Amino acid sequence: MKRSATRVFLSVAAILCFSNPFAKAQETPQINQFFYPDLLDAKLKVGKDGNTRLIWDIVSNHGTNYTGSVLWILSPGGSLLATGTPNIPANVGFGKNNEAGKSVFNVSNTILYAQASGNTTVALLFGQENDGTSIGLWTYNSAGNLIASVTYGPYGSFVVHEAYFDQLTGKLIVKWRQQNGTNLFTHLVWGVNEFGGIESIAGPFGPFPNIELGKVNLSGKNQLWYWMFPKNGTPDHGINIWEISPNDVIISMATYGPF
Amino acid sequence: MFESYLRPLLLLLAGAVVALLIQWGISNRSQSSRVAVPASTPALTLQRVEPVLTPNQSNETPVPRETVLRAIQKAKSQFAIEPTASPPTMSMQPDGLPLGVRRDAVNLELYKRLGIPPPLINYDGRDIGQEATQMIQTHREPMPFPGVNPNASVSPMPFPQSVEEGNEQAKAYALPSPSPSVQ
Repeated sequence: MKRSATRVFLSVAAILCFSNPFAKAQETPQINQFFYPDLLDAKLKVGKDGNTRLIWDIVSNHGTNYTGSVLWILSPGGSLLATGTPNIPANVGFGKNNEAGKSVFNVSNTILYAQASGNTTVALLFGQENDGTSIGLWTYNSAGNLIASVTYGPYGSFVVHEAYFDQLTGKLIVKWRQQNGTNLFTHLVWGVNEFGGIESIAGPFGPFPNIELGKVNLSGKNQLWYWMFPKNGTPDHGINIWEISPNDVIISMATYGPF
Repeated sequence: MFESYLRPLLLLLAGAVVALLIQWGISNRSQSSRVAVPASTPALTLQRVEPVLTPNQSNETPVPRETVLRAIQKAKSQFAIEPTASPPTMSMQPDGLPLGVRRDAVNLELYKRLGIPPPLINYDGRDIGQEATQMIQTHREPMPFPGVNPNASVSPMPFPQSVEEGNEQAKAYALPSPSPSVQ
């Protein structure tokens, strides 16, 4: 009798606990990412051919004088198959500055992707600032020869807010944005193929008050935009997902939350 | 009486002549041997091996150490693989394009409409390294964002609640001319 009373008491306590409004979880869609998420991670990649692509940063004078970078292609056994020709020039830049102006990434401003074709695409994130005004792209073939090169920008007050390789397709996502006021931005995103050719353009969209654009991924040539709302003012957020065709037409929208 | 004095005198004289001949012969031989030996032949002497001085031990330039280091560096440079660019040798595909290049790499029509130069693609197998390097080292003046109306009035707008509303909002940025089509 005493044991069953204890069970009933504990059950009631558990129900009260879960139904208590103070115990409510805060829902936030995790759609944000670092400015250049690949900057530290994308100096070494293994392609579908099993070969490793590796970037050497050439720095002299105790790490203060960056003179450029070199691409190496290595076999699975570690044999050197090819070196990139030519070297990546030093004006790509070395390290990014944080908001306090202090260098936070002591690596070259390069990210690479080992394409399914055997080519290696290197994105060049010029400058010390996160929101750089220009971006470049070089592609080497499997023998290390440079076969494509392009530089985009500067374009007015638009800056490259984020740039990264879509891990599924190997295409470069370039997120441009223009500031139109405090926490107000107009967004425009390019999908760029392994040769630096623009394949999809979406935007500009906005500026939308109190809405934040998070990741952008690719589904084929279509872009998937993830918005978080509201950006500020409440711990609970919802998510809105847009699918945009390569010629800048919104195909679908889906909204979830806030719950 | 005279004969008794003459005999020893002649013997003495003959002995002196013989001695002179021997001396001449010896001196002549030593001269010829001196010519046969080259003057530059180093003398075989034992030298004391000096200990290698570190810079802290001596202000003088440590020549022997530098020489050794130079030799080591030279040997290293001959054998070590350094991360430098290799000379370009372009492999070609059966379709006549360089290895890794595709004919449809770039949508040129799109670039024509955007009004910006397309990527530099190596379609013919030449070395584009210098051209590409110059391309990213050249200072560029800012230009309006390609494909976007620079005169569009940018003001905060409500977040669209439908596909139609979103596409309608996007028209605010469209260029007066037909917008560039990617497909």
